[in-house]
Amino acid sequence: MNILGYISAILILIGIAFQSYYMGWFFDKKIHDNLKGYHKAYHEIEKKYINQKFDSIPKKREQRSIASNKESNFQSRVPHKKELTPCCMRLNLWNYRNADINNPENFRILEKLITLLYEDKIIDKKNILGFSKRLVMAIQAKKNSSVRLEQIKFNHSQDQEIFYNMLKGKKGVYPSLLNYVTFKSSENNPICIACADSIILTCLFNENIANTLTFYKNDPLEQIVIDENSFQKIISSYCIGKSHLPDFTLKHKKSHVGETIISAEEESTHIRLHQKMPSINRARKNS
Amino acid sequence: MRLQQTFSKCLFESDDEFQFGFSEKDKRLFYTLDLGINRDPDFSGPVNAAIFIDQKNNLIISYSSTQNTKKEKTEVLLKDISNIDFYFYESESNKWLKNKLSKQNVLPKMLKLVVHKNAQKIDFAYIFPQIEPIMIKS
Repeated sequence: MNILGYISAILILIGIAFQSYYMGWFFDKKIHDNLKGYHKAYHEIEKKYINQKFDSIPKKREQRSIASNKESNFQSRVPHKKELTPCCMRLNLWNYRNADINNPENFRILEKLITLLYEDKIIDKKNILGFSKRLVMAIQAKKNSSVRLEQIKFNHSQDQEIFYNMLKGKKGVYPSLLNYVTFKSSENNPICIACADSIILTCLFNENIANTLTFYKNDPLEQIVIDENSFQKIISSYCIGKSHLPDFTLKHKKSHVGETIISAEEESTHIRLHQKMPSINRARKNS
Repeated sequence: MRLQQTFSKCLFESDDEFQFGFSEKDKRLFYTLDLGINRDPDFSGPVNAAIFIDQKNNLIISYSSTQNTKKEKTEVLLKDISNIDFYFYESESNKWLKNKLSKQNVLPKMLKLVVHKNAQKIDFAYIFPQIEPIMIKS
């Protein structure tokens, strides 16, 4: 009887020891797996960053025909600079904070942008002007300077749903509005013609001017190089006066965005990392 | 898995809205995460989150808007939880600090959660997004 007691006690002790050892091992394995996932995701980010840096090295341009050069109003091109996510290539909606909402001319560009991107996909033609006005009003209602575009609130749920769909975008159907607009607090934020996307240029001027300006761009992130005289020639040929245009600059100003965010997810642990890395231009300057 | 998703969306220390803290008194972890684009603008972008055990013994994650709207929503992560222990990894000393943060408003490297459910302990481990890779001292 006593022997049975001893054996049971020994078995219980072995059981406890085994369980605590097993739990420790199990937990160490969890940490180990997560760390492995983390480092894999981090490695993936580094790989993506290096690839982006490599892609940013200017390529040798192909020679264009003399005839096409003659047709152009451009000066000789300087080697292009690429920059990841330059905020100046987008329309800054912050500029609408002081706009007079009773003057539809003030949000003509925004209206045109919404028309080009979302007409009959998310919003009917007849509602675009009204929606643009309500969007500007919603922007003006936000007093906090750290507010983000996705935090803009509309009075009507229908407008909110339209805006949500615009921000989200739908792959292959319509792009996200965030590819074309930004919302950065700034006192004076002229539109940068050198970096502006061709859709933004179409909204600012018209499709023909946008095509002329972007004629030499091989890449959407490439800058347009044009002098004041050539630019005047182009816009006057379409009877557009400079006074009718919003505040813009022809030359690229150094972007405020000194860093870019690169994301990667490790499949087995679902660890997702977002790393802020120095923007490609800045990294090149520092190196 | 749910917590790993929210922890991977934690804001960086350089972000304006960043906060990360732990209340030792009521064992409540609070931090700010970026929920991105959401149908409800109050729960879009940076949102405050807290993890704790509520009065009904549920392990809860609660979200509150950073837009001064007092709006809140909660999600039950686990039911019938009697206790919870948070272990924060400190890489400088290579130690796990139990229910204690060495510094408030500094993102720790890793978090170990030990949940007590029906006299059973369940472990979870998470890694926070970091600017620099985590160095483990052996």
